[in-house]
Amino acid sequence: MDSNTDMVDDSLVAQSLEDVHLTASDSPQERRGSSPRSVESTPPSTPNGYDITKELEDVPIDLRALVYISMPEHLNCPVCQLPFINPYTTICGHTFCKTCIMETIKSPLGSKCPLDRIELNYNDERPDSGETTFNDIFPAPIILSNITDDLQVRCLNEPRGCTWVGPRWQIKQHLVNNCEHTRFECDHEIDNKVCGKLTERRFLGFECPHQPLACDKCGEEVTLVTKDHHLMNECTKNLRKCLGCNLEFPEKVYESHEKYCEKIYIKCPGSQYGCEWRGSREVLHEIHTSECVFLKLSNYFEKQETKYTDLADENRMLRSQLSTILDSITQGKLTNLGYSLQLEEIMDNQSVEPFKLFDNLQEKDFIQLLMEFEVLKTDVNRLRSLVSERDLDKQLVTVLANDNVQIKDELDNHTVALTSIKQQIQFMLMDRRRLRSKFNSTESVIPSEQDSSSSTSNRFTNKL
Amino acid sequence: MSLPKRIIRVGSPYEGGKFKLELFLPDDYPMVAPKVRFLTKIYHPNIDRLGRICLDVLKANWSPALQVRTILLSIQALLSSPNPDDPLANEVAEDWKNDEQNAIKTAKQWTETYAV
Repeated sequence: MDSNTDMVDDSLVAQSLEDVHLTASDSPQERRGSSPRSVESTPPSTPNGYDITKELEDVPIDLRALVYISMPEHLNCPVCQLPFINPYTTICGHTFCKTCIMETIKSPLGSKCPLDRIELNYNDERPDSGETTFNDIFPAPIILSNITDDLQVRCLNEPRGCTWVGPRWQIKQHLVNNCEHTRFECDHEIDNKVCGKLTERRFLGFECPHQPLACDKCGEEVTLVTKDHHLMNECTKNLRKCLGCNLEFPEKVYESHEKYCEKIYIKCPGSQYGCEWRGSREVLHEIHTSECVFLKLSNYFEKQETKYTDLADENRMLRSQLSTILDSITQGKLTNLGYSLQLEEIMDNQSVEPFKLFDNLQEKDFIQLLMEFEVLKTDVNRLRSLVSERDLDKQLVTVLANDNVQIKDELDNHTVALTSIKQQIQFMLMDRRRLRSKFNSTESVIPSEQDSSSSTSNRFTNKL
Repeated sequence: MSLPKRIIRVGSPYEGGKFKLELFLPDDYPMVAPKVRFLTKIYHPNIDRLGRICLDVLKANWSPALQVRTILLSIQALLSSPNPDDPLANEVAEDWKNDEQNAIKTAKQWTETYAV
């Protein structure tokens, strides 16, 4: 048993389950692409856009390659998992795309409804008229086509840069008549030869867009078609100035420079959690990173976020499963489709085990969430106390500032007093000088020194 | 693709194992069933030593309305409820019928040895 495991026939191109996950979930249309390959789905479209190489009339468009803005699950065909295209309904009440149900009936599976395996009667092509009639399969109510045709889709040329979004019924009109990115065969002549290259509509003009031009910046040979790509990715002279360090870089390296420029202004990485800081990368690394509370908490926030999204995903999945199970139970249509268990067993399990499991699960999660909530609460409280300490500091500072102002006023008063004293002293000095000169000149006439000094002292007292 | 992690019944001998599967979607998919087999060795009455799986929805009961997701769910359900009365690995099925406790023990051992 051991040795034979490796001898399995591996000639089939096989993928491990992980690979299948990628291709299967990311692009349903690719997964299903090969299936209903008939009536409407033989387009001249390439994987990354839409080309018109034939007559403009009756160009087929692969509606299954469209990318929808939103896909309401109830409008999806159970076979191709895409919104209905030309829906047909069976006698048992299920609806499919016309091509999908026809393919199923023609396949070895036989004429059974893909959902409930009810035998479907239909007449193949009538030998006389070539018209196909179905007894148990008939067009779905027109309103369903209207609803699905009104779904918003992106342009098939989106990979080439078209931003058009509109209802599905307009897509053909848009692609054939308007879309600037639809490619046509270039019908200009170079050297008496039709160019014939596939060219986007926006490049088509009076002259062939494939004629060589010289690049405005570096002089290298380009064409109208390759110019944009050249300027952005190849040209070494197409410079762009960095707002941070004021140096100029070619466009092709600018982006990588922007990621590392030390001078350029950036937001704090914690901005998503509420940090409003902005500054140069240098300052961010040297100062702000060590200060920012949000950054320190960001690890924690991230963990919370992933936990939350995981839980939300799980919840959504469980809910959808539950609703499908409940649906099939209420409709009484639960066969063992997709399960190896019998109906009764599944219902037993549904009614006892899984519900208990869900309950426990929710309770457990709830408790966990509650605990996390408590932790967050204490964190917030701590932050709040920090903030209040800050407030106290602020009050202290204002008190100090008030004191300062008072002291300054007093100082001013003192200065005023001082200047007046200074003036008086000066005045006195002048007086004294004058007296002394007088005294010197009229020593004989003037009374004794005693008198003069007493008179000066009198003056002095008067002045004061 | 997200699949429920706890679909294998608690107490199943395959609980906690990581089983690798190979999935091949033929050109005609979804009009024909995908080809699925186990790459990880597993001791199960409905899975043989080449990893082939005995499951009705992979053969006669295939429907284009089934998806990769639903197939994987069916396989998970099969692991939860081995059916030795419709065996693919005859020896395993015999063991299962004769001494179920012992067979479950072996399955558990295999899970611990290979499905990690």
